[in-house]
Amino acid sequence: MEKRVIIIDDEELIVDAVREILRSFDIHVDGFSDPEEGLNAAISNPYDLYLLDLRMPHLNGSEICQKILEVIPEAKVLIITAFPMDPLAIEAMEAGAIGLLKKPFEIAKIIAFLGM
Amino acid sequence: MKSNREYVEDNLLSEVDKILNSIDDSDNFSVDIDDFYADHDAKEIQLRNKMDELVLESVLKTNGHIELNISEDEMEVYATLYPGYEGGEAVSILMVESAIFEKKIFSGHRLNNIEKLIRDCNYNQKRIENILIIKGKVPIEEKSMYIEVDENLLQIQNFSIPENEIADFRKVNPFMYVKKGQQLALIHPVEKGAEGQTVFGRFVPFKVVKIKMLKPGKNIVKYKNGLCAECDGRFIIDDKTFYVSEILEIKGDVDYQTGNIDFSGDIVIHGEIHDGFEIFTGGSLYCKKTLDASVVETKKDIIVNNGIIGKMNGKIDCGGFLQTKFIENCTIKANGEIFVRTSIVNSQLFTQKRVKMSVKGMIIGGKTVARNGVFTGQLGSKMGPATEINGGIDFVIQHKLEWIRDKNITLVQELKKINHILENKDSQMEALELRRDNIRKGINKMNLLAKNIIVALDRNEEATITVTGMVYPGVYIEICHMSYIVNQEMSHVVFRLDKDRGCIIAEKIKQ
Repeated sequence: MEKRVIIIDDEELIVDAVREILRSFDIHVDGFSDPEEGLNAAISNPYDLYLLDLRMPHLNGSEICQKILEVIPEAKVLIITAFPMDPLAIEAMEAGAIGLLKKPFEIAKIIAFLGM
Repeated sequence: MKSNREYVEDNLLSEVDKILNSIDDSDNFSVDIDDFYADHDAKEIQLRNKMDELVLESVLKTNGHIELNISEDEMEVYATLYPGYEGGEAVSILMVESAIFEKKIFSGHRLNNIEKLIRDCNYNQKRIENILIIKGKVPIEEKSMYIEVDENLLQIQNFSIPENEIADFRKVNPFMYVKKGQQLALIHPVEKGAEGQTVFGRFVPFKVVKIKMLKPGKNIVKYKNGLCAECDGRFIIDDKTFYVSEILEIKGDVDYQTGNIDFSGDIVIHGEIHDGFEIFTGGSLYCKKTLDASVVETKKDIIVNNGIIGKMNGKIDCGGFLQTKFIENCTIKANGEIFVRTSIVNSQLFTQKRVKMSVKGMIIGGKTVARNGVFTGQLGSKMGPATEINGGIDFVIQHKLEWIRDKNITLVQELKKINHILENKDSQMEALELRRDNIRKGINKMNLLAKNIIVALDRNEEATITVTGMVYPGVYIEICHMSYIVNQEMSHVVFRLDKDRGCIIAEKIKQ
């Protein structure tokens, strides 16, 4: 069965790159550079993995993570950040994110978290 | 020695004398003749009974005799000697020879102990058990020619320290230097074999033993019955061969006087390696002082007595293990283990094995990627610089994946530009569409490559990060693809991957 991933990152390049790359692995990717739009999609549709950039305008990755986990407690959320010691990253991990993707991250880690 | 018959007769005569003597005494007695005969008859009966007893006793007397036992392989003959009892025949050489003849023992070497044994047996009246008296001829193995390396040269340490031991790096001497002309090994010629023979005269064939021979390699010459070093250098041995690796010795520093160095053998530098110089070697590098901001590439080991100071430009690529006092601002890749005595500061370290420090060692800042984990005294510091530790990962695979990722991002950028242009229906549409297709193919190719090598990325789930002292906030740990952020001070901990829970856990070090 095709795996489904959502990525919410204000950098469009990252969203496009991840979408293109994961397509080769037969992984369906929904990408959003608007955090609010992304959050709505995340809580409305089921995904196997949620990739959230940490620092975004209006709504940061930690807040989105907490909102997703409120609605879908079993959601597998990964936080994308260049600074693992960022207090928001720690906050997200404590809220229930399953791991960090330290920038620049390898697609291999996404594959590993999908259990493929 | 009297025979049994003689013994009996003597006893009898003695008894008769006694009786006759007693009869003589009767001259003084007046005895009724009837009574006399009655008495005489009684005495006769008594004598006869006594004689019967004596004869019976003589049957219980035994002659000495000998038993021979032959070993299963027919190579040894053991004798047990039984002495004669109560006047029985004593053991003799003739008896032994007869027994040997009867057993058809026609061969073998006679030990010189038999006469002494016989005397001991007869005079001391004791049984002598299972004494070796004859030995067969043991076959002599034939040995092929072989080379015996001087055992003093075999003391080269294979540098590795068990998990929880404190290393005294000063005791390590991984190099065995030899001088030109020094004998390194002895040549043992073929030793001819010889047939053996059992005590029955049967021939036993000899075994041919082929001894595994090390092949002498470069810079080894034959001299008389030995093998010698053809030049000064480092003695190297493995399970197949041994040779002398030429050494390039630089008495001073590596600087403008020496220039960059490119050498196939080992390099020993007595001074420092100055900022900006490059060293390439097919062997090992041993620097007695400090290694400054240089590019160093070795096929084998690197030992720097003082420290390595990269000044952000230093790049070291080590084919074997690396050992030094401290590392600062340097990028180091090593196939073997990395041993650092005091500190690793703001550096990028990558090893396929382990990073091992002394219990007072510290890793502050930078990134350390070690497939088999890290052992150190301190991680991070109170100042809180970001310190990243990755365990369980094959860095070579990781670097390949990073390269693929970068290429992908570039291709995707190009793809985006083309898509944007195509939306505007530019006149070069056909060419651009072709290019777009090629870019997509390029991305697919990169991802296929990534797919093929991705399975090798998580190499060691048993990797641990052991810290005997403090771990400070600001430390970020990954083991395989799992993360752990240290946000409070910890001490005496081991970080490891809990596969059941799918996360990294921190456990107190067991005392």
